[in-house]
Amino acid sequence: MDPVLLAATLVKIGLVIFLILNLGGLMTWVERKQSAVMQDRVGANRASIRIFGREIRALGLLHGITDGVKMILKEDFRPAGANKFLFNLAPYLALVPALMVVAVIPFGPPITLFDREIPLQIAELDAGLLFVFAIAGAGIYSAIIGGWASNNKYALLGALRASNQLIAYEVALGFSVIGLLMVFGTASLSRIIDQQGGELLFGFLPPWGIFFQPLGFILFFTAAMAETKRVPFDVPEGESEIIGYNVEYSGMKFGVFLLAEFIETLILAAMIAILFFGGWQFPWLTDGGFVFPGGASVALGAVPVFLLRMGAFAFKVVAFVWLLMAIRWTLPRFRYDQVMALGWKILLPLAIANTLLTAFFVLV
Amino acid sequence: MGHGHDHDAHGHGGHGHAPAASQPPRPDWKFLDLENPTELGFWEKLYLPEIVKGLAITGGHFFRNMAKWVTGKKGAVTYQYPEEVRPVSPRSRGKHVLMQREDGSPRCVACYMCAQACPAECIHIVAGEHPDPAVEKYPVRFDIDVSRCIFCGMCEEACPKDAIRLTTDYHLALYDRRKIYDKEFLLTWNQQQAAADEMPKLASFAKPEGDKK
Repeated sequence: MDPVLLAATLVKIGLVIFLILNLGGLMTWVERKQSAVMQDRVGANRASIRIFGREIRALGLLHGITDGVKMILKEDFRPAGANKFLFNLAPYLALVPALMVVAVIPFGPPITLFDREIPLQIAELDAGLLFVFAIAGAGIYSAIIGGWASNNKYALLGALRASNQLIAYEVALGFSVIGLLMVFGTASLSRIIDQQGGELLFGFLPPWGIFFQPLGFILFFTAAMAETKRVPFDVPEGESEIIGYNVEYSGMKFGVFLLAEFIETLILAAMIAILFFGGWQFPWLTDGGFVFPGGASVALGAVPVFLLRMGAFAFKVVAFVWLLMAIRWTLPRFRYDQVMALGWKILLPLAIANTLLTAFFVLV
Repeated sequence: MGHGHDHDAHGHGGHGHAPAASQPPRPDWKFLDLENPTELGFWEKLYLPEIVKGLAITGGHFFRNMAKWVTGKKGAVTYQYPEEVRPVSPRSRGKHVLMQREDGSPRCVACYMCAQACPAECIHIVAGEHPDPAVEKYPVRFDIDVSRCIFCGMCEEACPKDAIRLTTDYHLALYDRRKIYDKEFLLTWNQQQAAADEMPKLASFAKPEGDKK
């Protein structure tokens, strides 16, 4: 193998793992602060560090670190009668798929180094989208195994709710993107993004997935939100009163479940940006600079174009994380029968109808 | 026909009739008719527009508050307690003090009226003979078990000498629950100093705060 590409891949792996774990930790801060600002509060801001006699609070950013220290120092409790191996395995089954999915996410346009084109994506899989679904779907096992291995009937009930909900929405999730696959004709995430930078729709709209698949976007958004197991769809966990599959977990094992949930939210935001909002495509920006619909154009060098595109991707991810958090802090939880009815009776038929409709338009 | 309808009718009538002199006017209550729930309209059944409405409310709060934070103003309605003290009404009841005579001795005559009135039984007085024949008794000890006190202010009302008062100071947290307020502590209060401290607080209570606009 080409040593430059190998080195580039290793650097990318290190960078992405570093970034995603830190961003996952940062999400605790985002969650606390955003919910506080939405509710006219100040939010967590008391954790401080003393440097040269000055107390530095850093807007509450240090709370993530204190949380980590707390969770590591807490007693790592395992209930009597719990299956030791499976009990310890479940948190990793939650985190590892979440981290593996990141491997196929293109986070920027390809760059040229040493005369080689290096894609900003760890693994450029042709079946990238399918890989995401396959691996993210494996995350269900953590809930089922964790709930069962806890030797606690409430955890087991939570695990049943989790598996029921996740399987129901997995079906709708899979159907909701078939239309998109038909429109773009590829499952490779980088090629999906390339296609969204092509010819303008009706002469002025950037050809993003949402304009081809508005219904598909809503279905994907809803089903994927349910897959992250966060509020409106937090029936498996139900932290406020009914207790869920992770009730017996304490310390860092619980923290790993939480971290996996936050990373899933990040990935969801990135996937929405990639599939429906053009990934790193900046509207009306081509390789040579801006070409506006009216015919006006601004020539830009390669570096500003690259930076604009990276910025566009970061902005889209941040915007969707904001939206997901806003929804999480706006809506109350669905009742369990409502969750099931929404998944099976509304999302699935709509997704199938969307698929058929798209197939019709693609053929015609 | 549920009782909800009856209440509704009464509620609407409430404003029209002049209420009896002794009765305060009742607010115009509206009761949810749980037995005949309102039918959801088409757009409400679609659910998405309603979600957008909800997000507009919470998102509106978010961006309004963020605009305040970014421009250096406070975007929250909560108080950051130890640093920011919430202004209280001048009538609010907090820490106890014993008023003093001009020579600095307590005004209290150890009559036990406050201890008698106290529903929490947290005032403990030991009386002693006062050297001045014009004053019958004085408190040798005057202890308030502040962890039992319910701040009802009945001691204040019972006192014939205006010797015990509750100030508006509510910063009463202690590291030791065995701590009681003894006579020496209760006498440390300085009326002039407290009034000087209190003035800005009272002024801020009377006026709406700048960030509450």
